[in-house]
Amino acid sequence: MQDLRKIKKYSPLTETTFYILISLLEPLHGYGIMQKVEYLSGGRVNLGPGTLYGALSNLLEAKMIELENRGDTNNRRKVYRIREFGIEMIEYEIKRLEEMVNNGKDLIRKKGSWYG
Amino acid sequence: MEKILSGRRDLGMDSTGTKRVVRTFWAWQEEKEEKWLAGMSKEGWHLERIGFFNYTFREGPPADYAYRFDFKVLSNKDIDDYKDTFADAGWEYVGCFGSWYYFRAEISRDPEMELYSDNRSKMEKYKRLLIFLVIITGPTMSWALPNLYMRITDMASDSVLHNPVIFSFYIAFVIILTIIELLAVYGIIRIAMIINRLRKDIRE
Repeated sequence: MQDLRKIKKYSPLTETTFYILISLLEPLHGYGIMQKVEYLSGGRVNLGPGTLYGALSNLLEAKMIELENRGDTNNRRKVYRIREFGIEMIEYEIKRLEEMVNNGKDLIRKKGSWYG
Repeated sequence: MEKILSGRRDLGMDSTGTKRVVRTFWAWQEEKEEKWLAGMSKEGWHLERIGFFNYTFREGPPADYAYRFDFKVLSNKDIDDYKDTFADAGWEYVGCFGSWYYFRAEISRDPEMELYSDNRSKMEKYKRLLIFLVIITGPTMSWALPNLYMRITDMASDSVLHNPVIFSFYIAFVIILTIIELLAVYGIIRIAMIINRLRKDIRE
């Protein structure tokens, strides 16, 4: 388990970063990520290639993802995959987002009263 | 970061249906440049090659292209993957000028298409540009220029600078360098303003 302080340093992840990270639970190349994110968000999140490129280098630097090392010569395209820290980051973010969603739903239902 | 010649000069058309236009653009006027290139494509002149302060256009059927520039310092081994990813997203690679990469896409595919889909990553692009400008300007500003100016005041005791020909060349060199540096500083200020504007509009 990574240091919680390290996780908190990167939390909250941007919407773009979160979607890229969860799409990398299977190894993918850049365009694969773009398509998957668009599909997952029902077309709402449309990743620009510049944005994707920047996010991938940030994630590599944060050691949340890594490049898949393929031995073949046909490696013109980089394939990325998630690392342990990336998975921990996703789990932390899911808890954080769940808390927000639950509180939101709850208080909407109770019309704002927060006791009992 | 470069527009020493004001306006543009048409170098004429050759027999193969290409023409060269001398032109440079300021980094903080990217949108203006993108629009100008789109206008050229509308008239049937499509950007083919980016040279040193000049563009080569090739004649073809008029088309509605959107042009976009990316600023990125890339290593040779990353460049194919970078171009492929942009191509997959519908952006045709046109060429590069230093660390500026030029792309175009047909507008009809999706008028909302952009290289950067959020302001945070757009801001990071301008931060890269800002860091680049500071690195190339910093040493000249803080070390070379002050030293060059000091030599002028020392000229009385400097036997080499006593020669009037060498002295006028020296002064011309210092003036040109000063102008370039002032332009760079102005560029840095304008880019810092763009970064600041984007920072205020990050939504997530």
